[in-house]
Amino acid sequence: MAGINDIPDSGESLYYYPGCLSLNIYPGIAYSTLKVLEILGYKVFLGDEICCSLPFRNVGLMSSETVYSINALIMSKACLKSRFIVTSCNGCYSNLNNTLKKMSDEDFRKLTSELKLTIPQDVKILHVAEVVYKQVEEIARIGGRGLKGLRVASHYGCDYTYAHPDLVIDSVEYPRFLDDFTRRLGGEPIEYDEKQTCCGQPAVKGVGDVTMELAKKKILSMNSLNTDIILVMCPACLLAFDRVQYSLINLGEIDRVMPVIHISQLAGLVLGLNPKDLGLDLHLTREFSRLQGLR
Amino acid sequence: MSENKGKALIQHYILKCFQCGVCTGSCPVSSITSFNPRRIAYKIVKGIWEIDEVWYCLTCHICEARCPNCIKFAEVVMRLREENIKRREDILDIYREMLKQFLDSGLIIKPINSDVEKYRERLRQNLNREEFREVLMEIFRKTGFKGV
Repeated sequence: MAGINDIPDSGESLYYYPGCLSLNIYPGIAYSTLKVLEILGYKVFLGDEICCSLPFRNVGLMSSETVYSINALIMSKACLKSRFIVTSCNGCYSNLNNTLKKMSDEDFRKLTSELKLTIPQDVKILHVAEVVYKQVEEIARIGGRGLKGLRVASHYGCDYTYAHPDLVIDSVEYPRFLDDFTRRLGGEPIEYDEKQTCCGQPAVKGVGDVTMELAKKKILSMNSLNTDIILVMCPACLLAFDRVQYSLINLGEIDRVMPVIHISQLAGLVLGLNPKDLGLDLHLTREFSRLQGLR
Repeated sequence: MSENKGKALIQHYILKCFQCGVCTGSCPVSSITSFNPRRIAYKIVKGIWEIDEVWYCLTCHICEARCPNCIKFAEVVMRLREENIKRREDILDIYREMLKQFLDSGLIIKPINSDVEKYRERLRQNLNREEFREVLMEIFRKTGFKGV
């Protein structure tokens, strides 16, 4: 298990790598991440719009060598700004960390060298959820215990927990740091039956709708406990819960939707940023009534 | 990667499997479909390579975290897919479009609607696309990726 003490303190420079979904489906995540990190005192550099190519790797279209080389390109550009690369997506986090681990392979190091991609040994790939969690007391100091009265169901995401058990800042099977984040900001974390299961979003496109079935199980589990907010740390998980709730309400299978919010957006709300500025009206389930006047 | 090298790598991973079934018991897809990682491992040991179920895996890594022999099943799945993707034109069609988008813009999806496109203007990024494509082509050349 990695330690929260390894997360840099405010004042440090960070390179924020947003990835595809945090830019072109839920750009509020990218904007919130930038703003929140700045408010918390970090110097943030916004990264280029280059896909980490995880979907191409997962479907078998590209070999690991090709995909890790693309990630080496991303990292070599990032390291010109900071040795700390922060992501807001579990998939990008996983893929970049896979590449970093691959750097111990001599053949791969040779390949990156031939490609003129330089990656310093002390580079670190972080998730914004880790940084925000480390700063929860500072968020409470600035924004107060703004989640008071809200029931929050957290979903952590497999590409963070199960893909890198050695890097997770919490238990792999029973992570609770998002719940602790909620509690320390005044909210009530919800324990629901399907907490540990996958949202289904990484399913290969075009081979049935596994996502619908898996996300539905989780949504019904959360909904039955009168959840006010679904808290996620990955735009792909957000997409699954957002899209599937939208389908379920239109099919009449649920009678209420729960706003699905990325941790950067939730931190932004507590810090007093406007829901519209945080891009929440770009979500399919635009349910703001429980979020107005959050502070 | 050559087909033989791919198969050797898959066998290298899967031969440690002693069919305990923890993977299938943990798998979210197995809970709703007939997808069965343990059975896939068995087929590989028997030399069966064309396995249709392999496309249902989420590569969520839960089975890997729980496997008593630390088998990297998601890695096996991805390598099996590498071997079989050319036979799946229906899947290739979808990813072909994403690959085109990647080469054009750096990202694999376009802004999902005009509201998103407008909102994104506040995020000032300016990737040098020509330079990006040049490095990308060099990566493809050196790693043997020939497109789809």
